[in-house]
Amino acid sequence: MDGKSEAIIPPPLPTPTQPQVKAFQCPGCGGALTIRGLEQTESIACGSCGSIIDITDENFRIISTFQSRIKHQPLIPLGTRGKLRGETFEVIGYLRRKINVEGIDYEWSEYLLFNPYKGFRWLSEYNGHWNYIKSTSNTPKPQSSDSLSTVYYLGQPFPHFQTASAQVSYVLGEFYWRVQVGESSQVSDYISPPLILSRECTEKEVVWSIGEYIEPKTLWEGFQLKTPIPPKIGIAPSQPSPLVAQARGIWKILLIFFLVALFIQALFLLFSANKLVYQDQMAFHLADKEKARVTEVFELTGRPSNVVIKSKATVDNSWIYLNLALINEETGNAYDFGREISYYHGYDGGESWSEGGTSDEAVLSSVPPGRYYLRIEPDAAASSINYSIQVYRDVPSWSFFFMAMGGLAVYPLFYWWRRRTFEYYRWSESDHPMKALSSFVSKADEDD
Amino acid sequence: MSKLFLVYGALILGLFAFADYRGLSLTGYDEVKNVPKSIRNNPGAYRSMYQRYYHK
Amino acid sequence: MQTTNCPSCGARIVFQSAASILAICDYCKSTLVRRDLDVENIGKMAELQRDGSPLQLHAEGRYRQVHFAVVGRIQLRYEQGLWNEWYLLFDDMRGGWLGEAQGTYAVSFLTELSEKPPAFQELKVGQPLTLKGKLFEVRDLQAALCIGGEGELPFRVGPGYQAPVADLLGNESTFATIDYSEEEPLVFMGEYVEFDQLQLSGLREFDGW
Repeated sequence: MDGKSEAIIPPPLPTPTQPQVKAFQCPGCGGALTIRGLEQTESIACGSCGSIIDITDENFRIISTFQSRIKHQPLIPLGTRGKLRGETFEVIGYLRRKINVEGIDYEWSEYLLFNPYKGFRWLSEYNGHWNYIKSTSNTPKPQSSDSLSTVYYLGQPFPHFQTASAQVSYVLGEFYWRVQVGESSQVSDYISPPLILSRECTEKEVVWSIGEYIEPKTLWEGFQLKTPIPPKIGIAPSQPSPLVAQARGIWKILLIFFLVALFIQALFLLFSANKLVYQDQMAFHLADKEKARVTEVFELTGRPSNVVIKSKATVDNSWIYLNLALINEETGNAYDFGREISYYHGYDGGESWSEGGTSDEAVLSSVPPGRYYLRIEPDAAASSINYSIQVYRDVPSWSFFFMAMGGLAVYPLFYWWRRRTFEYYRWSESDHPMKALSSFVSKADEDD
Repeated sequence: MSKLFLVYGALILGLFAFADYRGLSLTGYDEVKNVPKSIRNNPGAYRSMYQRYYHK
Repeated sequence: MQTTNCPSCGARIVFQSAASILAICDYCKSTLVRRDLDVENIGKMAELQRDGSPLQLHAEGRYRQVHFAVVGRIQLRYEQGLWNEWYLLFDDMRGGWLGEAQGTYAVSFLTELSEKPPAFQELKVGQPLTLKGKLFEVRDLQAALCIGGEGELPFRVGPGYQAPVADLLGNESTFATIDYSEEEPLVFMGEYVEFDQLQLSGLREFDGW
């Protein structure tokens, strides 16, 4: 094709070099170090002497050293390979970072995971809570300068949780940048449990990453660890609330219960007899020798239900007391009680006032059917007062309906309280702690 | 947890329906037994616990 | 497909894509510019940096159900580190690019625009820009340094060559890149993809993986 008479036979193509796991001696202390990052990492920190070595340099130049009073041991040892979400990763680096909030240092761990095809992932651990993190190219909106507002990532809102300056305090193993103990970046966290969105800002760049709350059990199984799982303390920002899923169903059920209660009440309103079985007007005279009297016999029919005795009296700045007994003519069973009707009123310093009333209602519960009469013995201070008495059978009432509504609402309210308490503890460590419910109560007391 | 709510709610509604059906009342009044039939002729003979009332 | 021999060492040079105008000899690293029937050696290509990339020439994959072969590569250095742009030849003879760095993969294609994009100096980070009817936001403005290349490429590249590049982010993993190295800026549009989506085969082997 090119006109040459014969082709020069070329040397065999060199086989592409296969990146190797490399063992070498730490130039600082001679300790054994292993490079696992297969040409994709730039530095390695020696756990023995605190030297950080540039592994892109063929002489393994030491870039920096650091001292640490404690030699931290990663919970997942370097070199451990495991499966997470169906993908295999190897732990190649471990670092600890800290933030300082109101004078207190909070330190957490981060594990760098590596897969030569899939790249890098991170695991972060604090107080026994773990997050599985990867960097994302989807930049959330909006990126306002105050960074305190809610951001939207893939259409989902992520309220701001915390912004702080994070400093690297300890390093071990390999990293894909030239890490230094003491290097810091501004970290802003935004949450939508179980997810946590983080914005890391240095002078040079802004990197966003998305993390998901992961159970340590999943990690221990994936990495086949036999060590005990450290217990969880407190509530993590991205920790999903165990109560949220159940919540929605409960309010729907409550609505159904409300409707059923309303239906039951409607039935009773409709079918209650509300029958007037006796009424009479009477008069009290102070002069009467025998004040007690009995009414004629009347019939209370139907199932055992209530009896409402309504009394009225023409009291004006005085009182009348009615000693009443509803007596079953046949069985001799009686309901014995007394009612007072008093009414006082006046005009005092430009304002009229009144106290009491001229009527009264007494409700007897579950009175069996039969023939009954009333015994009435009135007493009063005035010389003569007129009064009337009405006896009603099977009168519908609203009190149990409202009690039922209240009782039903207690359950979801209890749930709401429990959920709020969970969220209160979640946000207590953030830049936006929630107001304690108790603070609302004490505020009310102050107003009084 | 919603199953527990169903049971709890059904219980409340059941109690509510029962209370309405039997005409229960929140206020309880004393029951007296064996009131003799003679009271009808002589109402004054009936002795009630609530007979004397000392008005404040 | 055009086959020829390297004028320097005689090795077989194949231009799989009609759009390729440059090929780097696998053996002697001579940079060959394609002429009608012949190639011209314009010098030795610089050594690529070892970056541990899992991709290599002759790897294959699928993007949106169309099979492709990896036929070329440019290695670039940005402030944040190294970046590879792999030149892909699709079965439908389209040429595309697979941007790859530290486990992030993005496929893009050279796109023709009806209007010229704004000049590099006029752009600001965070600025919105509409290209081909889609809204993007300028994320990065940098000078990319070309370290070297291999395989066949649709334009001339040389080491030490600094190109002003604008990186833009669109909705839902879409992105655009504007390369201002030529007089006529080149616009590439595409999307970020997951490693698994590309169904890659013929990848580099890693010890122990």
